Amino acid sequence: MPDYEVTEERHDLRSTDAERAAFSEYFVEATGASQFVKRPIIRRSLMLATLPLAAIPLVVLRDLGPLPGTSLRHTVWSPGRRLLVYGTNQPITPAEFSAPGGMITIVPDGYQDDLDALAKAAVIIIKFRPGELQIPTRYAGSTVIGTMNWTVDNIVAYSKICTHVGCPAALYEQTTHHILCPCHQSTFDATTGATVIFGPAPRPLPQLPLTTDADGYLVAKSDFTQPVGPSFWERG
Amino acid sequence: MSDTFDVPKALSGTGSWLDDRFHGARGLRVFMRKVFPDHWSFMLGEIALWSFVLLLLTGTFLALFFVPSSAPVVYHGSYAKLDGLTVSQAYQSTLNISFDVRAGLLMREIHHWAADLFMASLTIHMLRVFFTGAYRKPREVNWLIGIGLFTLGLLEGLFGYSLPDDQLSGAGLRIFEGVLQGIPIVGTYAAFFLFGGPFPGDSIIPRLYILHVFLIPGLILALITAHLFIMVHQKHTQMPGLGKTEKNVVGQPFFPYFMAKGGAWFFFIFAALALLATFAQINPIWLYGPYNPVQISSASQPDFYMGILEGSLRVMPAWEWNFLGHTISFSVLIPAAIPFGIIFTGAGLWPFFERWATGDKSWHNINDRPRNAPIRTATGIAAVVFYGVLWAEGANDVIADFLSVPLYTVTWIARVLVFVGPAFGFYVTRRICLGLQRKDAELLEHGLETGVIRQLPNGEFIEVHRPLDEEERAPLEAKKVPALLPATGSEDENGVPAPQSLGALGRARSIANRAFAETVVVETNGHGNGHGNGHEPADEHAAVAAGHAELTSGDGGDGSGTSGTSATESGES
Repeated sequence: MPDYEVTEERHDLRSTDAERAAFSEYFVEATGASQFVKRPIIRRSLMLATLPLAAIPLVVLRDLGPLPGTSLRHTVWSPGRRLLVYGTNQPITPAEFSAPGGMITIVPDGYQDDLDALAKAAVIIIKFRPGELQIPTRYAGSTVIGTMNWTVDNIVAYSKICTHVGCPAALYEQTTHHILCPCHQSTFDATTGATVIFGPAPRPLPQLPLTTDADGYLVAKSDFTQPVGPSFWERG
Repeated sequence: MSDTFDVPKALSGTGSWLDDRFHGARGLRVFMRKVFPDHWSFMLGEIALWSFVLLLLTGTFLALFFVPSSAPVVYHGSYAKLDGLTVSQAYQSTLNISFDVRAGLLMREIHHWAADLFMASLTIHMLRVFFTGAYRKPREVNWLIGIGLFTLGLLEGLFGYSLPDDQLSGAGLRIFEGVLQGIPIVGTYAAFFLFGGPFPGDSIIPRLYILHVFLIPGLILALITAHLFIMVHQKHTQMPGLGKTEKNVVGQPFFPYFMAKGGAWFFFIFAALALLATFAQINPIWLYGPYNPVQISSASQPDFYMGILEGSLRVMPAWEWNFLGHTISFSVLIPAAIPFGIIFTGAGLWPFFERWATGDKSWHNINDRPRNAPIRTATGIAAVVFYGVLWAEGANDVIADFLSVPLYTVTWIARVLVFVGPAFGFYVTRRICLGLQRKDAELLEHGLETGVIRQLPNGEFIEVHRPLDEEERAPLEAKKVPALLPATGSEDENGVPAPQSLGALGRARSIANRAFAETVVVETNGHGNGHGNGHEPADEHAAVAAGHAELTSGDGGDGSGTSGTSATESGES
């Protein structure tokens, strides 16, 4: 194909004054004919009658989901619920988790395949050497949210769900005792109650109160005493 | 085009049949001759268009086999490593597409690469439109449609790569849900209504699916159609050059040139995507595994167009308010809303801001060369740096690993750069623009250095300059500088202050106007050129006189001011 250029004139996009005037003229005439201007009661009642349409989404979209209620404040952990090792789904005794420096992911007994439950209830347990743990007793209002008394045999349990936007805080560095969330690098100091030492997470990973049951297995003393996971408006 | 031929009966017959019914001959003839200006950067938007066509084609294929359901099934497909694992139907069907459906993996990979190319070309196309000022009157609406398309493209991509329900995309959805929860007042409800209850639930995959395959593509298609119709109606902009005016379009006719070119371009892009899909594996979900909220892997990065959001979340320090029983998490809100807010809102408002600052209400069918609009170009670069820093921070763990730098150091550098970088980029770009304007001015004034050295009668050596020819001069002379608005406090001959310069807004406008009007003077008489070589240019002219025409600056011939009318920066070096 031979390469050649052609030139095309542009025409004004703006209509001529005559065209604009003709448009206005017809618009005014036709609107007048519709009586829309002349009869305010009809006009206003018509416009008013369309208003309820705006409420349709409120009604028809209501069943998209249940109301949150207080569900974000609770997990499936309850007094005496056993800690199962993620993967094998076996309960664990403090004696079986005796090597300091280790970290294990834990799921609640009875909910090991329930993704909705796990998204809030996943826990990590970490074993420390004697004297390494220095968890202060912390309060949120009058609720205790962290204490040494919730550990068993230098084993501490923290929520695995990052308090930033909910990724699993899955990386643990033995030498520094830092827990790192690989999504946005919030870093928590496991020795002091998972306090935040870097990154965007606004508060420590909640601590799960631990104890042992009659068979010597690690169990939860109670549910978390504060909401786990990301912030939400009603959290307070 | 003198090579005529006899039109076969089949063709002319069909044409007549159609024309009898649709009266198309005249309209089509006009359209066939529609002029398309030629510049490489005008092909960028077309990449996005053709990528979208390929997305529709491959996406339709994938939808034939994909099952949008979270229902658990036990996998027993060809990929032996996952055999016996309980996965969702979405994940299983994606594995089947990848391993058991003929051409399925190729289609998946083309689809994914095409999505990335769509967003990449859209981004670069928008940068082109911004830096050349092609968004100016009468094309502001098409610029806004473009921003809408970009936003929809982001959502479409995010929802699309979340569908296979693999570990990586599940982590992305988890973050999305966490961010949603962080919105004040309505956040918790928004999250519960989108996910049909607590995360992850079993509603999100089918819901994202219908948004991804129907609602958003429909909107994108509608907006692309509007975008193209408006573009055809308003005709293309063109780069400045000889014979190009605000009143014409110079280029090649649609038929046969642009049609051949555009058609070939489609097949080039198709081929490039097919090659990428074949040789550059993307999103191997069988390696990531099915989603489980308990698991995560390091170096989890979203697709590149979501990188800025990821980086913003990573760069943000912890900050949260608790009051009256409520929580506002700025650690989430600021990263989610501010960067894209600045870029989208800024881009959307910019044409109107520029119009306000320059007082320029005229049409612009000739694009600016970026150097001739230093404030615009510098602002654009500042935005690019801002985006780039946050985007790179989205891969801070990978960068830290690759460069063996501590992770927190990378984040701290980003925290500083996100503020300093744009300011530095603005300053440097503005200086570069003015420097390039100075170079243009010198070219117009002295012509090109030829490399030929002559000796003057007095023994001095000079270099001969060749004056620019008409074609070379045209783009340089097309420079336009906004007219100066009345300065703050300026008065007319009766001592009445200019009304538009009063008040805080008037002062702001005056300052903005002066910034926009900053330019480099083109000396029109060939003196005071700032060569600094110690002799008058006139001597040089006399000495090498042959053919060295006196150069004068051209006049653009429009009302918006021309070169050198509002200088605040001299051409001296």
